[in-house]
Formats: sequence, C-alpha cells, structure tokens
Amino acid sequence: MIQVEAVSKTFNPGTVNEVKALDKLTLSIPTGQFLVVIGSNGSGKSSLLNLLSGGLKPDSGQIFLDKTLVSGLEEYQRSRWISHIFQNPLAGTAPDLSILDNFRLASIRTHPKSLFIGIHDTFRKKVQEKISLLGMGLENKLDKLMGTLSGGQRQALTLIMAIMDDAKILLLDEPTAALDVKSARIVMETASRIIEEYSLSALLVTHNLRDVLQYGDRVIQMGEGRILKDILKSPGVELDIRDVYSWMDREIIPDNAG
Amino acid sequence: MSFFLQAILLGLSLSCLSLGIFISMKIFNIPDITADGSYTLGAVITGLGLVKGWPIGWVMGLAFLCSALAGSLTGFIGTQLKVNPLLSGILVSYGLYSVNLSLLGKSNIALIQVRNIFAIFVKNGESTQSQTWVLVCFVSLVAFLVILLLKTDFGIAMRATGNSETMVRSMGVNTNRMKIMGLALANGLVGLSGFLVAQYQGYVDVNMGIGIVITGLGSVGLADAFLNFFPIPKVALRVLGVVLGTLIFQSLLGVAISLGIDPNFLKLITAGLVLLVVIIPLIKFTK
Repeated sequence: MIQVEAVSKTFNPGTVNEVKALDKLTLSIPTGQFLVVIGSNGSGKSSLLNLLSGGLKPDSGQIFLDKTLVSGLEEYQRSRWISHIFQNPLAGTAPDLSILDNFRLASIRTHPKSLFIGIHDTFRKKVQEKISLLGMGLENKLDKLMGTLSGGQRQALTLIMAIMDDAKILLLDEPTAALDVKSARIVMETASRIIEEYSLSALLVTHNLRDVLQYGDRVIQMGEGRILKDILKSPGVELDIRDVYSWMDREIIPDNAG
Repeated sequence: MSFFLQAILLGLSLSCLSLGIFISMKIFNIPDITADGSYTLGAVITGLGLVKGWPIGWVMGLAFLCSALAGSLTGFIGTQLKVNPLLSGILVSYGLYSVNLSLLGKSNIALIQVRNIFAIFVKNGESTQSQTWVLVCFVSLVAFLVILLLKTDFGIAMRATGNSETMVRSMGVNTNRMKIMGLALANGLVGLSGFLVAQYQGYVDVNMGIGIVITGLGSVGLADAFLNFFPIPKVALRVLGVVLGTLIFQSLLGVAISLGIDPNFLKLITAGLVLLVVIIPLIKFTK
C-alpha cells in the first residue's frame, strides 16, 4: 500500500531555473495493484518515483508505505519496502561482484549485513532455482562477474533479485528503455509475472505504448506535476490506442500501431 | 642474499599497509591518503607502549584502534561534511603529524632493549629466524581474517559499496556509515604495519610515514598486474596477491639498493616503479 498525500517538490526554488516537479500530488496505490505512469518528459513521473524511493525528499506533504510515514527516511531505510529497478541496467547491480554475491546482498536487503558467511550450497541452489525461471541459462554462471553480462541479462536478474527478500513494492523506472526488443519483452514479462505471483504493489514509469496497453491494472497520465488522467483497467474494457497515444503526447499515429 | 631476506621481512611488515590501501582504494574506490599519518601513528603508539613496558597485545590493539580512529575521522569529514575524499585524507594526515610529534615528544626514539613482538616465541627476538616466523604468522593471520571478512555479508556489502553505490543503497546499506567503517578498517591495518615496522627497524621517526601511501599503491598495483592473468579474481586470490605484490615491490627496491644506487634516490626510484606498475596493465589492454 502506497499513499502519497499532497506532496509538492520544486527544484531550484527562487531561481530562474525553478521547476515545479510535483504540485500537491495525492495518490493511493492499494496492495497488489500494478500502476502504469505515463506523461511527457518533465511531467513529474521520475520525481514521483524518486520521492517514493527516497532519492528525493518532498518540500511538503507526506508519503506512507504500508501505513508507515516514510517521508523523512533515507533511501537505504526505505529498501525495507521497496525494490527499485533502475532505467540504467548497470545501476541495479554491482559489476565487479559475482552474480552470487549480488544475489546474496539482495537476499538480505531487509536484514542487517552481519559478519555471517551466507553463501553456501543451499543458498546457491536457491539462487539457481530462482534464476532458472528466466530461461536465460544464467543459472550455471553464478560465479561469473555481473559486469560480464549484457544489459538485458542484468536487468532480468535485477528483477529476480527484487524478490529474494520479502518484496512488497516494486518501482520500475523505464526498465526497458536501454534494452533491445527481445530483452525488453523478457524483462517486462518477468516483471508482470513476479508482480502477480508475489502480490506486489508496483509502479511502472514508461514511454512504451505497448507496455501501457499490455501491462498494469491502472494507468495514470501526469503533466505539470499533477495527475491529468486516472484510468482503472477493467476486464473486457480495452484501452483505446488513440487515446493512449494522445495522452503520451505523441503526434504521429502509425497505421499499425501496437 | 641478506638484502633479499631483509626486503622480504620489510615487505611482510608492510603487507598490512598494502591490505589497508587495497581496502580503501580498490574495495571502496576512495583515494585515501590518511595512511601517511595513520602509519606513523601506529608506530608512535607502539614506540611509546613498548618503552613503557605495556603488554604487546595491548600495544597492538591500541595501535590498530588509534589508526582506525584516524581513518574514521577521514571518513566522517568526507561523508558527513561532504569534503572531497582526497582533501579529507590530506587534512587528517597533515594534522596527525602534530599529534604524532606531541605524542612522541621528540622527532624519533630508539627501541633498543625493549621486549618486542619478535620475542613472543623465543627469548632472543633479534634473530632473523624468529623475526621471519613471527612476521609470516602475523601476516598470514591478518590476510586470513581479511579474506574471511570480505566473504561475510558485511564484506559483500563493503565490496558493493565501492562498486555501485546506487545498487547498494537500494539494498538497504547506509553507504556513508559503510565508508566510515571501511576507512577505519583500512587505516587500522595501516597502523598495524606501523606497529610491525617500528619493531622491525628498532626505532620510530615522525617522518617515517611520509609518502608511505605510494609504497602501498605500488604493491597493490603489482597485485593488479598479476591478477590480470586470472579470468575471475576471487577474493582470497586478490588479498594474497596484495601480500605477494608487497613482497615483490620491496624486493625490487632491495635490488635497486644492492646495485649500489644512492639511497637518497630511493623515493625517486619508488615513484618510477609505481608509475611503471600502474602503466604496464594499461599498455597490455590498449594493444
């Protein structure tokens, strides 16, 4: 459960570069809901995501995660609730550590990092099992350095890392923007599957029309730091592709769109 | 061959320094030069403790703790006061010079006729054999503990902090606190080298730490060059590589001196050697 109450954020206040990123934004995302956020550049999507993750602090307003007030908490403290998938596939993993080391860290995300050696055969088997779900053949390369993998492989692994330890909220910040079509499909399908399987509350920021139509239970369109449209998808009711196009501020509608 | 053995013994004594530099510069990716001051601090405390006849275990612990405190101060200045990490280290090591001088009371003291760590197994701690054994055991134990630490959950978080801060924060790690603890550990190890070298050389000098960070860097650089031959450098291999790098580095300096080069040029030779060590792997990669 994510509650954003009258949150405002202004960058460079009082200067010529002043930008109002969020303007008294109120939003509630119930547990298990998959929300897709769209809007043009500068509409406040990324600010919303960063305010949730703790990368930014609000000027005013409050943010609750599972009814706990988190507005004043640091990013590392909010990781108790949040798994963050970054736009840059390289940001969510440590390249010079092995896949196994990366997964060990992910599996103690909400726990203290103690003087305990946690990488044993049972842990290795558990990681192998989870990674094999991706069908990328990475389960036999656990000792490889993360940095030797492709962006798509790393992004897919980041998603599996997100569910290694008590996942509650998944923030996806244009997770496929830097990926090729095939990797993007694997990443989005994996995301969609784990969100459903683990009943995660999820927030996806995207510029991809196909993702808006295909994924999520609810779509919001943002503009000038406010919510312009809020549409709950319901079974049997298809979103009109032309509407979505116009919400996303696209001008040209190709004939074979979607 | 005695120059060679001496170089190895000095190399063993300096291995903890290299491990400290390895942790700050390679694991945490922080250009920390506090070592210049914390190395001397470790030696100064050792000198004072031994002259006063304190138990050797206490002296060692105190040398480690005080040097670690200096490292954590650098970490605090860098992370909490947001000062450039290089400048933080310079400021702390510069300030430590006065601390060391006032602790020592004069610019150097000799440690003759005091019971030191080399007399831990035998009565006569001056023999090369007992020095060798004590140093080998000491450095092996420290290297083993560092390897063990880096394999723990805390150690993985340490390694990830220097590698991808964004990732490690999203994994619930307080990166500022981690850096402070990391620099404390790194400089604690540097202090242990001060502890060993003071006893090995038999004197403490407030100037002994000037430029010592270069020695550590050269040793770590040699380890890197050596690890280029391994596809996946495991943690244990990296740590042992640093110890080996230190021994080779000191041997090379020993060879230079045995060839009759004026000791006044030792720092120039060291600088040239470090430059070589740093550029050799680059040449290999650009080919």
